[in-house]
Amino acid sequence: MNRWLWMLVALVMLFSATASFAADEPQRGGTLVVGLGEEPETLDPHTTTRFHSYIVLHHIVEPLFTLDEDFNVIPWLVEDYDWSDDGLTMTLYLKKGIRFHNGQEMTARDVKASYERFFELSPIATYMPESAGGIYAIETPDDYTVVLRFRTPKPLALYELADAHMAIMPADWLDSTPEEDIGIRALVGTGPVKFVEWIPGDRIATERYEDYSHGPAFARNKGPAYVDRMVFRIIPEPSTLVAELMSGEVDISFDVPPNAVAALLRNPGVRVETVPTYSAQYMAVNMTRPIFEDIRVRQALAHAINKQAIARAAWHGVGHPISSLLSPATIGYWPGSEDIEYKYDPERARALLDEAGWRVGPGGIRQKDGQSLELTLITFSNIDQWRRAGEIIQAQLGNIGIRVNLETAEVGATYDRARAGDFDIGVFRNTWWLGHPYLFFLTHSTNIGSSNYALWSTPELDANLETAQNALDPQERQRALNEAQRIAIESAAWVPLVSNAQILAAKTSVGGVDELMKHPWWPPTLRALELYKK
Amino acid sequence: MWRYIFKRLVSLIPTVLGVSLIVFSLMHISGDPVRLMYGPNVAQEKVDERRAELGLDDPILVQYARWLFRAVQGDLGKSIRTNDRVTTMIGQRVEATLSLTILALLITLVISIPAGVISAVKPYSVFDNASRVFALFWVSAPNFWLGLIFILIFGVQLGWLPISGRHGPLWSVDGFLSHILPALTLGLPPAALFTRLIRSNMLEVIHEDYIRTARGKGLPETVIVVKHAMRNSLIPVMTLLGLRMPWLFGGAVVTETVFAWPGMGRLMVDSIMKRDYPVVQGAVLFLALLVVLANLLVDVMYAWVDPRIKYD
Repeated sequence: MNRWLWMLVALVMLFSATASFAADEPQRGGTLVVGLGEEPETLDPHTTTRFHSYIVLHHIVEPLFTLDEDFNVIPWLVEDYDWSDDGLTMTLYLKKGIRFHNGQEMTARDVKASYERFFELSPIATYMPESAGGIYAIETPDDYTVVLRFRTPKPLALYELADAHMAIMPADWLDSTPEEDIGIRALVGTGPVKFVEWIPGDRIATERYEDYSHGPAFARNKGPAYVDRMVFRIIPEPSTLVAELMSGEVDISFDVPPNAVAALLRNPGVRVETVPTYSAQYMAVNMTRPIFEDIRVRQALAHAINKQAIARAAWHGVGHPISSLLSPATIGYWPGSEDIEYKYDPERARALLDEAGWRVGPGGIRQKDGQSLELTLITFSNIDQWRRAGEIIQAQLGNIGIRVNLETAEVGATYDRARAGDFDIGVFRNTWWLGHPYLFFLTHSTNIGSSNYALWSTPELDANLETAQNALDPQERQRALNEAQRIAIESAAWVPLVSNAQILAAKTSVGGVDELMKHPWWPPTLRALELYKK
Repeated sequence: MWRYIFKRLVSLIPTVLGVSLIVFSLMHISGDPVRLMYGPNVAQEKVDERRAELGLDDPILVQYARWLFRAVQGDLGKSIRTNDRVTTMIGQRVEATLSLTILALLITLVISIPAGVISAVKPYSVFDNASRVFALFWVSAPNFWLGLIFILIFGVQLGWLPISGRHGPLWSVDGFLSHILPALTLGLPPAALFTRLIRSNMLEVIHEDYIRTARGKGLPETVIVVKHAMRNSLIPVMTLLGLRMPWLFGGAVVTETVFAWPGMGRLMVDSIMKRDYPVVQGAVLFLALLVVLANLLVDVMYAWVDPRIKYD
């Protein structure tokens, strides 16, 4: 009798072991609810500039190329491509048999129509169009060949072609759909999920595209997606989003605020992961102010700021101090920046100010020639991590004898002030995955008065930024980009602060998160293909 | 009566015009919608180009006149951000707000009328004292806090009701369940206020001569309370109801954000945050109309409740 009992126990254990093994295998079916903290304004890739639009639409539409785990551009909807030695002609050979959600096969005509529409409509089409010395003609010798002709070489073109803003949509559909419906009531692409409906303020519903089989090289599942439906629910209140994740309808979210991470980590039913992002929080010093002509004053500011404290207090520990204006996750980041950055050293900061002639006066505020060292710091009032960073910097500069008047306003008003140079120091942010145009944008002299908030550059910095964008040799580009980063850091006109981490919070009933983690920025296509409901 | 309604409708025009002018001016003195939409990565020329396309470079009076000229023809323009028609956007949202506010109003009335009447009929009883304490609590609880507490108790801890979102129209099961928490959040605080108001009105009425006469005639107590006393004590309540209408819609702004409710309140908050002038303008115009009409309805109902009131 006893023996039978043991055999029964063994059998039960074996059965449960197989069952649990089966539970880890991807399963088909179900609805995956993704919690969005902000509503996209449109899903039209050719007009949007917003992050939340980009993330959602990239599940539905696809560009011709994509980026692999090491940020190399790899062909996706193209079989292959040629690039002439002079960099002026690029020939793309499209994959055959790739079909849009409306059943039409993707052809060269669709690529031409989509690119032309992007150049015409997109406010961020600043590198590739003819007006920027880019593409002046798109030829379609046959259904599967596209020839792009450039006015001047555009060495970063492949990166642009891997950006979902340059996604391909069917030419006929674009022609026949009213402009105000595109991206709002209809969207057709080649992605792993199809657009079903958008209930404004509530949800964007998509469903699996059954004919999908062209998942990128880095995806384990080439298609179709496991889940039947993917629904993006818009939940603007962070506390509500967290409650939904803990015991509600939402399965996964990438919009959990940093201050909720600790609470979620205590919940056994939720898994939390973080990765560095390519966003950068930095301080800019208004170089038109005479006070900053002395580099020692700028260096003192840089040495006085404890980035770690900002990461801990403003970002709730979900952020990393950065040494360059590019974050380590941005393409083109220079690791050497870690050796040359001005490290936190308040003693050194005080000594530098003493050397520069700023002596501690009454009330602990430094003075020179009757002028006291008082600075206006501007930043965003409506983003917690920026307002808090401002407060921390205010306190830290106070420690070395600088009085800081913190003036916060909402994002638009703050940028207006920054562009007008109506500030002494400011804490700003920027997000761009490609370092070359990004650093150009932030520090080149042509952007003084727009995005160069230090209002400063040098011919040497300018030259390096130009080479980084335009040289045909990738190594030469990287060398120049490294050099530009060095100049920017050493100038102390910009002080890199913190790069935030992207946070993923998923119920433990969601499978495929490990697959997603293999790629550094969790591409939407991978989310659609790999995630499943256990 | 009809003449009165017509006169009231005509007097709507200056009210709504005034509201729209104030909103228009306020929106235009704060921030640039295009820069806000494009973010810091887009070059200034592109921003200027788009501003010109949208006519945002014109003097503010020209912009207002243009908007007004189109609005009287029923065209509220297009959203700066989504490029969608404002009338379409309002149409998509209005049902969610109306179903929520109507249910909240029902909750307010269903709770406050009986509670107020019982408190008045049995003043200083246990029920009356308890209702006073509850009233104090609900009136002082801020809307967003109440919403989050409801979510925590009924959504997260007990798991009885959906946490957020509108899961269908009011008459469907899922839809109804998803309406409960936001409607309670919106309906309970005014219910507390109304209970106290009805109680004090009833207390006054109940000591009137005609009630004593009714009692003297030997009418049953329920008939006296329901038919004679309550009807007369409802007039001030209806006045307050009319005055609270904007508050109900205003409260919906906060409640809709907490509960991720796809209504007009959220549309307005989002559009204000993003300086989407045409949408804010259209939504405020629409809500102003709604509030004014609701007040008109209350005035008309006076006559129905109290036949002595006549409009000529």
